[in-house]
Formats: sequence, structure tokens, C-alpha cells
Amino acid sequence: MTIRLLSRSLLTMAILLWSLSLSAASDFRGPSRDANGNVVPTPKGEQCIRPTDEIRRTHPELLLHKRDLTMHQGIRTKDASLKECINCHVTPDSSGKVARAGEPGFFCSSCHQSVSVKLDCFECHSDRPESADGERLRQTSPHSSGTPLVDRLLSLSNNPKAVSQQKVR
Amino acid sequence: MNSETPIDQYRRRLLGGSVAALAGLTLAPGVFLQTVQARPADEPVSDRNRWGLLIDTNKCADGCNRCVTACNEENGLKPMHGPTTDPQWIRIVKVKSKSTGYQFQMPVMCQHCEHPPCVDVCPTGASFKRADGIVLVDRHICIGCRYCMMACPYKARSLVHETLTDQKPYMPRGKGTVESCTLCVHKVDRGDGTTACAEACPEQAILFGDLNDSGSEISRRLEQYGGRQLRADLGLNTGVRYQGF
Repeated sequence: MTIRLLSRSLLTMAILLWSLSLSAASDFRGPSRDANGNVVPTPKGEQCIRPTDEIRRTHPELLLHKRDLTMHQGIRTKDASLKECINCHVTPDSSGKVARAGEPGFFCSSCHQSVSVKLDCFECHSDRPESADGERLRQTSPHSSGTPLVDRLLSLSNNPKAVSQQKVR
Repeated sequence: MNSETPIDQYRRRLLGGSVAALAGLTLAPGVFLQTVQARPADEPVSDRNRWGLLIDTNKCADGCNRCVTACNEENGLKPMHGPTTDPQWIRIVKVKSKSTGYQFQMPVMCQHCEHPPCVDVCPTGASFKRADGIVLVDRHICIGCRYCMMACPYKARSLVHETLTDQKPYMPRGKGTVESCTLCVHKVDRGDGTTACAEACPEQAILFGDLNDSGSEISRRLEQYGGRQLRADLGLNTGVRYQGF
């Protein structure tokens, strides 16, 4: 009787530990699912800027605070920047498709839809990572060396675009 | 001994990276340091700088609108339903003297006034002037009432009439809010030291710079040749100055 009770409690504990480790791992690794069963895209980074339980509770305040700092004081650090959230959290799913804001597979929508909180950030803000634009800018630089600092130095010292235009005329 | 959480380690790596980037800046040649007032990303803008433009109308080539197209491209302004409702941050204004027939053109954008009428009339505080002189609209607060559009003597502001998609990540824009030239604030904050229109002008008729820095190119040219404000009689002390007329 006691042996059976002991083995059952041991089994329960093992299952509990296993499920705990699973949920901890799924915070940052592998496609996870939200309460509604929507697939939440896997983030690019290895670690969120805050612990998961904290960011779930405080991300509206963090974003609001950062919003005012950026808008009015020009502070553009990466911490709590909506652009950086998007850069990390908006990734292609297994079929290579990137969900748009409002679609179930979009990182923010997956949770906001289940808690019925309307999300209007993306009426103005881009719901796409900024890499595509960054690449375009680098490609157009005639003296591109892959280093933004060097590019900037070159473009300042001898404004190649203006020089070439004057030659044409 | 090592009591750091993974998050602390992550932050430390991030910080380490930014320190290395700063070290790179100081090692750059002196001309770079003089031209670009690099401000650390975590430091608020201050009134040490007053950003402005100097536009030489003699250099502004007739029929050219490269500054307008560059502005549209940089900030993601696309043609929607025609010029009556499409947002426009730079306009090419053609001026003709009735007596002599002499005509020229010049770009007119937000003049980034020291005493902006748009800020005076804004009922919500959305229209504001940054410490470094750049006049902006905080779209989070803008209700689209368009008082600022009526108050602006330069007709510099537009209302977004259409639902927008695929905005630039660095330039959020949306329906029902007023907008105008931001002096490429994202580029200024990045330390580019120029604007999209100034970069695009084939005649280098537009010069971006710091009006508060007596050693800057814009200040030296203003000191040497002088410059005019549009509607100087209003006493708004504009950040955009003109030469050549």
C-alpha cells in the first residue's frame, strides 16, 4: 500500500518537473502555442529584455515610457523599443510566411486576440522587421564596404553622388 | 561568485557592444567629429544644437524636384488619391516677378520655427518643438483637428486621409494624423548629419547643419552671405533659411 502511494507520488513529481522544464524552455525556444492554440513565432534572439512573467505584465508601460522618451527627447536606445520587439519577434513560420499585424500568427495578435485587447500600434508602426530597408540603403551606397561608419565617413568627405551628377551636366 | 542572471549577461554584452561602437567613433578622423555631432543614443536632445537648412535658390534648377522625390522615398510617402489629399512634406514653389518676368523655384517645407504657430494652437500638445529646434507632431496624441495646418503660414503640414500600410520602420505614419517635414529626425538622431533632400539635391542647393555651432558650414555660409527667412515679418525665427532672392 505504502509502496504504491510512494511510487505514485514520485511519478506525479517527475511529471510535474518535466512539464515545468518544458514550459520554461518554450519561453524562448521552438514554436510555442498560446492559450487559443495559435502558433507563436519563434523569436530571433536568445533572451528577452525582461523575464517572461515581467514582460507579459509590464510591456504596455515599458513601451509607453519609451515612446515618450523617443518622441520628445530623441532617446533611441534599443531597450523597450517597439522597433526592436518587431525585429526580434516577427519571424517567418515553418512555411516561410511572415504574418501581418492582426493575423493569428502575428506575435502580438496571438495573445491580444485571446484577451480581447485591441491593438492599434500597427495602424502607424511597421509590422515588419527593419532589415529589408537597411539592406536597401547599404546597396545604394556607391562606396559600400559593409561598414556603416566607413560609408558615412566617405559620403561626408567627398559626397560622391553630387560629384557624379555634376559630371553628367 | 557568478551571481549574474542570463539577463544581466545579455545586457552586459549589449553594453559592451555599444562601448566598442563609441570607441570607433572617437578613433575616426577629426573631420568626422567636426561634421557630425554624435550624440549617445541614451542622451536627450538639448538646445546646444539648433538644426536647420540653408537653401540656395540660385542653385535650385528649374523643373527639378529631386528633393521632393527623395523625401517621399525616405519617409514612405506614396501617391494615393491625387494632390488635393496626398500628404506633401516639400513643395516646389515657383515665383515670378510680374514686372521683369524673372522667375525661379525653391523648395518649401516646414520651416522649423523657434516660435511655431502650430505648437501655439495645438489643443492636445501633439504639436511640439524638440529642444534641438525640430518641430514635430506626436501622432500618439494628435487628434487630426488640423488647427496647426490652418495656423502654419507656410502651408507646410498635411493630414493623412488614407489608411496606410508598409510604413517605414523608422517613420511611423497613420490615417487621421497631421504630419510635416521632420528634418529627417531619424537621420539626425543617427548622426548622419544630413537630410534626404540635401543628399539628393544634384546642385547641392540644400545644406543641413547646426545653426548654434559657429564653426558649422551652414553658420559660416550664413555669416558670409547672409540668409533670408520666409515671412520674416512674422518674427518666427525659422530654422530654414534661404539665399539667392
